[in-house]
Amino acid sequence: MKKAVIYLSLLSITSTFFTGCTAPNAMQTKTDSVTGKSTVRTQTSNPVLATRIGVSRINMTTLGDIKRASLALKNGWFYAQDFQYKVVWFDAEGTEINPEGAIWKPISLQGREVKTVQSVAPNPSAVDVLIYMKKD
Amino acid sequence: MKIKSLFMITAMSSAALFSGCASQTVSYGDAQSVETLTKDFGSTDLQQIATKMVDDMLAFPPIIDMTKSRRPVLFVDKIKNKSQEHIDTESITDTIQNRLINSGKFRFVDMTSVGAVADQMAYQQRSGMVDKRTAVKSGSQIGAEYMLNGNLSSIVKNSGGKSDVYYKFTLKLLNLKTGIVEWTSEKEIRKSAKKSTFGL
Repeated sequence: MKKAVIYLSLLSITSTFFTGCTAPNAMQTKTDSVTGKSTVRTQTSNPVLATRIGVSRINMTTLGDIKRASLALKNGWFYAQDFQYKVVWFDAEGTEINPEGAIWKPISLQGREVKTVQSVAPNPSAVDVLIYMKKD
Repeated sequence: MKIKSLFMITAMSSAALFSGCASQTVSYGDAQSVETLTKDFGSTDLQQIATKMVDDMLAFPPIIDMTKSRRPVLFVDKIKNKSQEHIDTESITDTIQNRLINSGKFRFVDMTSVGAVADQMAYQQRSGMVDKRTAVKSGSQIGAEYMLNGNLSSIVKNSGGKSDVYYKFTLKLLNLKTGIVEWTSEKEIRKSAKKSTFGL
């Protein structure tokens, strides 16, 4: 009985570890239509992946009538790692712009490195971003 | 002789049995996912290049000013493929053109369909089959103000079981009236491959 419990615990820890590598983390901005200020909230959090990669900063700037998101991606570990990220844009009503058009991009980060990546909105109607991050 | 025949029959029937079991599994994948099957130019490279070019172009301050109150007309020239691979560069420019049009900032004239357009215009005006009142009049097309052209080059190095390929894509926006290059951008991609020992 005791052995079975140990096996089950080991199995659940292992499965958590492996899903930690595959399930992506996601963060989303929400822009206030009146003030124009953006707030960031976590959409989904995978605790194992969160120790490896995170978004340390999101800046939204406006270029004419088009928005640009600058994201500072941070490697939480002390050795180099390869990740993938995807930026999806939404309009003020929360409708995705160009569904199925956002691509996963590979990125390599050295240990504890913070790298800034940028994404320009596909058109002027895009106001918010959803950032997905996953491990290769 | 009898045993030999028996072996042959067994071998043939086993082969038939196993080949009968062989099946092909087909599945759909995410067209936007990262593809690393080989180090050759692939879909992820194409998508990364197109995204970088469009993002850079839309974020360049003089372009922002240029597109503030009007949608300039562009045409895409061929991208010179100076790499060692056969790469469909028209596919890259098609994606760039698609994203630029959908940004609402630019309009394009399509030089690849000029022949088909001329044929259709000639048919409408000279065949006698089309009502003259509905036929499209020639001489009203809008001329492009800017041209997009560029290069794709690569450097490949192999050493032992390791190989490395470096791609550089350069795109330029040329003002046809003045000849000035108004904007340019580059995207670099490095890919490495390593042959594993014992095929593992």
